[in-house]
Amino acid sequence: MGDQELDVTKCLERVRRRDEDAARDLTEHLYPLVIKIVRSHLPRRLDEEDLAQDIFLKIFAKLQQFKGDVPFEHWVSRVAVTTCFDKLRMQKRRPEWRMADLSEQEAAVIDAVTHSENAPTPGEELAAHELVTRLLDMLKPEDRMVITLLDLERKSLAEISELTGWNKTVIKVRAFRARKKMRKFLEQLEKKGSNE
Amino acid sequence: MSNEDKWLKLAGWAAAGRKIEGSQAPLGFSTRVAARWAAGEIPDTPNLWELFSVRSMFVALSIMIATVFVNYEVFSQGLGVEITLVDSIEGPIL
Repeated sequence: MGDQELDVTKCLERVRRRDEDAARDLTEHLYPLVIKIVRSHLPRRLDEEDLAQDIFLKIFAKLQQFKGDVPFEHWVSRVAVTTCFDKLRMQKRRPEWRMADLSEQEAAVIDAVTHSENAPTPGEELAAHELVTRLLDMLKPEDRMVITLLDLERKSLAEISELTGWNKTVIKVRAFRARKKMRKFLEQLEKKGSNE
Repeated sequence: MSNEDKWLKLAGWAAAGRKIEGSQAPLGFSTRVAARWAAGEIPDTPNLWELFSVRSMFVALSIMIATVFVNYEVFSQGLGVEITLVDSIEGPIL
């Protein structure tokens, strides 16, 4: 079934009647939405496809709970975000930053962020993404989740609240705490860069 | 530039550098998901024992403290009993 033709309401009804073809169609339809969330919040050493499969199984398992009071895509996003958060929490240990791990590209990105007024090159954007991913790995799961949604995905407090179920004050406190840590990491990296 | 601005600039670059390719499901992905769902598979849920063990310890500790508090008199009676030791030596040792 083509993606444009999919009638989600009818498809959901068929899935509820345990129609395997409908489950396949729904998976194909929702995959771009789910994989985008997975890639934003993927815990270390976890395969994105495995996590995406778990999210779809959870969506199907909880489908009876979907009452239609919010758009289906919003409900799916919430299931995906909470599943990613649960996986992040399951990781008992967070890596510690080792200055020796800083690659040349990452060091150059820090320098460019600090001094350059030019638009970033695709290579710099990629290096920035790798650096930020490694920095985020060192944060607590809830801090990481908030800062990813707020600063990388540019979501509003209301949207984050809807996705995570946390109230806005909690989100603000976590964002403040997480940004403070990120600023500290950056400061350390800059000092390291200027010493070399 | 303040550190706050630097972080926001870096985050902006990082957001632009995110992997965007491959947003279509890989071949066979939806079939694998549908097959696992049809087989009644449910994804991992957090281990309940692990989830509740620390909380259970706090609850047990609270009950223990409450028990001691409520039954304090019973416990303290045992502590207040005077014990007299009888010296078996009859005469002074020379």
